Amino acid sequence: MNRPPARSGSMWVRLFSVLLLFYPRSFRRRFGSGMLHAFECDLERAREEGRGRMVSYGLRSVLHVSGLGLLERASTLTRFVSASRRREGTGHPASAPSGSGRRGVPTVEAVLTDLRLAFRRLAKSPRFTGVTLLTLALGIGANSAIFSMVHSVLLSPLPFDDPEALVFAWETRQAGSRISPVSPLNLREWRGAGTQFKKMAGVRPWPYNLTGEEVPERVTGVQVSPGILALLRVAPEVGREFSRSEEGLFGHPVCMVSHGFWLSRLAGNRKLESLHLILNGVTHDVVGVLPDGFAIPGFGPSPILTPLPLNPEDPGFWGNHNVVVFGRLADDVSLEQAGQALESIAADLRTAYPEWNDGIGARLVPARDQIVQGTQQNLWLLLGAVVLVLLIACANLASLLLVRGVEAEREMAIRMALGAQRGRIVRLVLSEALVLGITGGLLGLGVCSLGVDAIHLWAPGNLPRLGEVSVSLPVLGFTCAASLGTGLLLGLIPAIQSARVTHQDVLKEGGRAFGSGRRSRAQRLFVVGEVAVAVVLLVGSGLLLRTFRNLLDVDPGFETEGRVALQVSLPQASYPDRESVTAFLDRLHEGLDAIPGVQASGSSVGLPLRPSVWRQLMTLERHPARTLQEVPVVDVSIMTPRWLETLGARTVRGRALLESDDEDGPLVALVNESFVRAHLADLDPLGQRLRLGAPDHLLAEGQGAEVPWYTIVGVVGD
Amino acid sequence: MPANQPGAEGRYLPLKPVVFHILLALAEGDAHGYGVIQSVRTHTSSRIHLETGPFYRHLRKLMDRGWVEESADRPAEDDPRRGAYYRLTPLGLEVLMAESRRMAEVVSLTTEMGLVAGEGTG
Repeated sequence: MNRPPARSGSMWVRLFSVLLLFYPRSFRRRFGSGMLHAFECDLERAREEGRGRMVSYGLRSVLHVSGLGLLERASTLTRFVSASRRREGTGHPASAPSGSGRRGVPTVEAVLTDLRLAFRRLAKSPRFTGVTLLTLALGIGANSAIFSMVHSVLLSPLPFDDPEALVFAWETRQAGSRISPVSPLNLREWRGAGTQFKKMAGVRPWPYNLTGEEVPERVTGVQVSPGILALLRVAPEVGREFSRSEEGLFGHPVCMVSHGFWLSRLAGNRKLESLHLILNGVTHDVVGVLPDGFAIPGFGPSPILTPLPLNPEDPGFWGNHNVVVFGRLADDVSLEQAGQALESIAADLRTAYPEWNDGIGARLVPARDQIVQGTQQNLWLLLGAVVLVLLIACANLASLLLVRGVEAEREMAIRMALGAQRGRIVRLVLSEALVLGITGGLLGLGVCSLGVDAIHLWAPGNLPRLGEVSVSLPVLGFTCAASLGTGLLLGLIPAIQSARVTHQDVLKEGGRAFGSGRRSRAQRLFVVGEVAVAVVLLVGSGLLLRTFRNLLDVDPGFETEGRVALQVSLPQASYPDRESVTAFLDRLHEGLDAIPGVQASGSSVGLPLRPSVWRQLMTLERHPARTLQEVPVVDVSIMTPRWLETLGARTVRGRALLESDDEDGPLVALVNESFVRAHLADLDPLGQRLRLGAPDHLLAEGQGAEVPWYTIVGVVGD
Repeated sequence: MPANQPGAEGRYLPLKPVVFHILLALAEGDAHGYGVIQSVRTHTSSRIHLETGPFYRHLRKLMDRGWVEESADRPAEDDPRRGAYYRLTPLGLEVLMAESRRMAEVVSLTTEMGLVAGEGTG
């Protein structure tokens, strides 16, 4: 009769045996198996009575075990304390039933009794307790999860040595109103001239075609300056970082790889001399492996790194402003000092290289500010919203507790008639709320860690420092504070209410005391408060949704349905000149168009709605600018003839590009409506000629003849 | 914990009903944990529905006071998963008897007053 069944309810049994860990080890040793056996038997009996009974019994036991287990641990502590006190001869404090020891301070025993009573009362109404714990767990857990995001992204320092000394250095245009990345020329000059910086390094995203495996693969990595790891005070896991000699365009081709890439593609081979990668058609030696979890600030983890070339023979050295530069300030140098020093260096450079650096200044931004900019408002807003949700939940639960307080009034009144002190009643109600709050908080930790996992899954990919979001010590502290605070908040009002009741009133009424004036007012206040907060939240989210919808509705100027975009980069080694690139594109589109289901295909440099890849000075034949500063800069793109058709872009005037506009045909160009508005307001755009470069009179002798003129043949919609 | 002294009675009596019934169940004979729980439920016709957690807390206290101890006696073919067997110590037995005496005194008083039969006082 007493044999426990083999399989039913085994999940509960396993849960029970895990929760036994709440008990101290000595207790488990003595009573553990007996407890498990008794639980199994009673569970089976409950199951025979019905599934609901079994669940209810299971829940009750879970509460018992967790609570009593903790009490048992506390008791062990108390007994230890009073035993040692007795040994010291001071005698142990009087533990009178009313629970006040010397000077009216509640003794540990009394607190334990309160807790035990609270547990008993809560366990007697498992549905109320279950709902409350669920609500609290969700509320506190959500708050902790959002807080972990706020803390990791906004509050905690960057995960580098002395992170406050890390800064980003930008070029500025037009007297400092816009910042932009740096040209390699300026990186070289800034790096060499400044004593305010211990080190400076540049980073540039770079596409690689990884070949040599069965399937060629396109990997997006970065080019980095030598010394970047030393700047960040990070040591490579294996090998070394790049050296200065590898910076020139003709340095020996080397590369570094990330930890993940090293493990998955190179089998974690520590013998780097034997490792090579064929990147963009050139064999690179692998010289270093980055440590696990490392990411360059502001960039995600990059699988492949190559040296950032600083070679004056490369035309891009002078005019491609695409390097992100950051540096480490020297000791005792402030941001302002370094900023001014860099600005004066930039001024010198403006004079030294007028055709490249005209109008270019410098500005420093602290690394952390740079990385998290734009997210602060959203994250704090999110936290505020979640806190409000928790407050609503608390208000709800406080009402529930109030009702419980009313129901328990008779019990309280009887206790008071029997001599319990008023203070004790308040403590009882408070302890019930605290127990709820703390248990809710513990469960909330579980929800929080689920939430953090969800954040990693669903957060926007450009949320900075996403990898650092985790349940850390500050998050745990926040959760503790939230659960204690919630418990106190929940307990205060019902506690005060119930303490004000005089037992004569209640007993005289002889039955349930339904809402007296005091009670209804508190409940009405709760309802009003909750509705107000709920309205605020609803309005806020409604506005956000509407803004988002408006964004989606904006006409981008081309069709988005049924289109797919691919990125291809052609390694210079295999495609060194124009003919080979053109031939490749012809073959590519032949192949693409032949795929069944493909209606059209086209290629272009850059995608619409993305930052422009190519910016050039532009001169109109009719309106050449007078000074170099006035020469407008335009975004340029080149494309195959069917590109616009593939996109579904509108041609507003004139024609689109044709197959006949190849290298033997006339040089033609298309402009968009904004271009017409900005530069050709009063003229008919068709037939105008433009070139990519400065006007003749601003160029050196003879240079103007080499720059071709294009004729505008069509206008495209924005 | 010296409970043989006369003052001890005032300290531990009256026993909580649950504790009394646990001692009573053990007085019937050595039993394992669940067995005691079931006895208590039977004796009180489930008016005291003793559950696992609270029972073992009481048991621990009783053992701390020296009223109950583990028993080496168990049936040979018994399932070891049941846990240990327990029995009353002589001290525990004395406490049980003291409480029974006290209750008997109360019952005789109330019987005299006619409360037991349900007549109420004059």
